Parts: sequence; C-alpha cells; structure tokens
Amino acid sequence: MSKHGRREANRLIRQQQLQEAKRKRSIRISAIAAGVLMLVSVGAYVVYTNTADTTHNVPQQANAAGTGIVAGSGPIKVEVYQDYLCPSCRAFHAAAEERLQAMVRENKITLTTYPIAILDRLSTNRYSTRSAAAAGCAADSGKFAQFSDALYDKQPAEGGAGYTDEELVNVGRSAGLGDPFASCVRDGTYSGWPGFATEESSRRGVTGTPTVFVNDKKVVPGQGQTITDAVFNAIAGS
Amino acid sequence: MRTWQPWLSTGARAVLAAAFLIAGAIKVTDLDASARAVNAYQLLPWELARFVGVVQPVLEIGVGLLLLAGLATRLAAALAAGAMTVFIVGIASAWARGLTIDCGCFSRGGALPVGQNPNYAWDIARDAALLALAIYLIVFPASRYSLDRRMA
Repeated sequence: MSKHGRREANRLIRQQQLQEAKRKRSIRISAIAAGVLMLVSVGAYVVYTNTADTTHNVPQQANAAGTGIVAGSGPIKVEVYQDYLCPSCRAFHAAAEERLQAMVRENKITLTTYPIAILDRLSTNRYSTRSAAAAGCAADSGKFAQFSDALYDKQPAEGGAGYTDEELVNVGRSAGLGDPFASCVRDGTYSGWPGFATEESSRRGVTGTPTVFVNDKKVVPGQGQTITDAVFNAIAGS
Repeated sequence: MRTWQPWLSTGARAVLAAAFLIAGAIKVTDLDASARAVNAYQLLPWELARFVGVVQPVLEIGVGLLLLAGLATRLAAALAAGAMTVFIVGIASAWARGLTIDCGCFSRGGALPVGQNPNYAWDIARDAALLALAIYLIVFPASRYSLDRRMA
C-alpha cells in the first residue's frame, strides 16, 4: 500500500470511529432523557396520590358511601350528580326538582343528590367545592333541598368569582338556616367532602353534570330530548 | 443534505414545542380535572384514567422542553408522534361513539354542556398536522439552534 493510500485509510477509520462515537453519544443522551422523563412522571404521580385528601367529614344525612344526600325512601332509586355552578344543572333543577320532591313525599322514589365539584376551574374561588361543602352543612340542619333551591336561584355566572363563604352564609339565612350552618360553613367542616364525592363519581363513570341514574342505570337523553324528559320517562318505566 | 432542511427541522421543533408546552401547562395546574378529562373518553377504568391524566401533562411539558432545546430530538419527536397518534385515535373513538366531550387537548376537558357541540374534525386535523411535523423530525432530526448539534 502506498503512503498516500495508508493515510487515506487511516483517515477513513478515524472518521468512522468519530461517527460511531457520535452515534453512541446520541443514544446515551436519548436514554438519559427517556429515563428522566419516566422518573419525573412517576414521581409526579406518586406526589399526586400522596397529597390527595385522605380524611374528610361526611354530612350526617349522607348515604352509606358518604357521597350524597338522601331524601325519602321510595322504591325507585333516583340519583342526581350536580355542580352548583353548572348552568345545565340549574336548568335541570328548575325543570325537575319540584316533581322529584313530590315523588319523594309520595314515597315513590329515593332521591340521592350528589353535590360534586367538577367546575372549580370556572370560578376564581373554587365556588363548586365551597358551595357543595356548604350544602353538606345545610343537610345537617335538615335544609339541603331549600339551600339547593336558593343556590340555583342565585347561581353566579361561570368565569368570575362565585360567592364567598360569608355570602354563602347569607344565602343560607335566606333559606332559613341559622347559626350552626354559619359556623359549619366558616369552619370549613365539609371542605374535603366534595373532592371525595367527585372522585367517587368519576369512578362510577360520571363525566359531566347533570348526570342522573335511575335504578343504577345512567339516563342518556335521546336525540332532541331534554334530560328532564329522559329522567321522568325512566322513572315511569321503572 | 439540502441546506434548508435544518431550518425546517428547527421550525417543526418550535411549533411542536409550543403545542406541547402550552397543552401541558394548561393541564398541569389542575391534575384532578386532567384525570377527569381522560375519564370522559370512557376508554379506561378510573384508576388508569387518573394515572394517564396526571402523567400526561408532565410528559407533555418534558417533551416540549426537549424539543425546545433540541435535545434528544429524535426521541422527543417519536414520543410526540406516538402521543398524536393516541390523541387522534381517542378523539375519533369519542366521535364514533357519539360522546359530546371537550377533547381536553388545550383545555382541561370533560363533558360539554348540553347544546354545545364538539368540533372533532378540527381537533383531528390539527393533531394530524402536528403528527406530520413530528414524523418529519423523526426523519430529519438535525436542526439549527439545537443542543444536539452543539454537543455533536
């Protein structure tokens, strides 16, 4: 081999070695990046599950699962998942609540209402959670339905500030609730409860509000049908 | 290699990085909602949906940062392409099953209120465009203004 040829061969080998080193480094960087991504995401999940509320108070009138407020003891089970900030819940409440309460009095249905909080992002002061917690306080004073009426009557708009705790106390007073209710709201007695009820609702497949179950079957309105009509159809068919 | 290719790759990195960083940042501040958004697709049991809902925004931000820095570009692009494929399949399946949900792409998602209609076609078109960028980056990961290039 000529001197020139040998030099050329050495140059090629060096070039190949250089390229191989580059390739290895790029693989190593990718492996490290992948490892960091994996560690960070698993870490985030561990932190998330460990910071979740594990203890919370449950209103006295709640169902056995500690997730909703029960009224009546009729044979047909009607369960309503609602968020006090949700306009569709307000519409459903306005259209259906009176008839549902009448059915409770006639002992036709057992009505369980789940105040969940899926719209906290749509108020600047976590109104969904706080109003649901206050509803738990109202339940302790035996005025859950009256307080719900009052809340929907004065529903704040999405996107702004919902009522403060003090304003919720005043809404309660207008619904006939007294000092035990006021201190329950101010002390945040049930502030951890809506989060728990919401998580349990997710487990059950509730992905929006209002969601209604009649005898454990989720009511799905047909094309052009209102949820109110669908619910009363389902009750009539039970 | 044509001279404009590294610039195109830089552009693809910038667009994808912006999409991932914005999508992740919106969701990471409310992981409960993110979990519910995944649950709204009704494809996974709640425990798994919650895991995905918590991990996804974190990964989105991670991939976004890698793309922004141009570090491990091919890996980041492959992850981005995988994510886009999953998103497109998920949205298409929600569409096919007649679910009316917010896709939770650039928001925290969840069911849409009655009377509001989702625009799945637009969501899928956007994700397909992002998928195309990611595939381009897998094929041509070398780009200007990248750590990969600086360290090479």
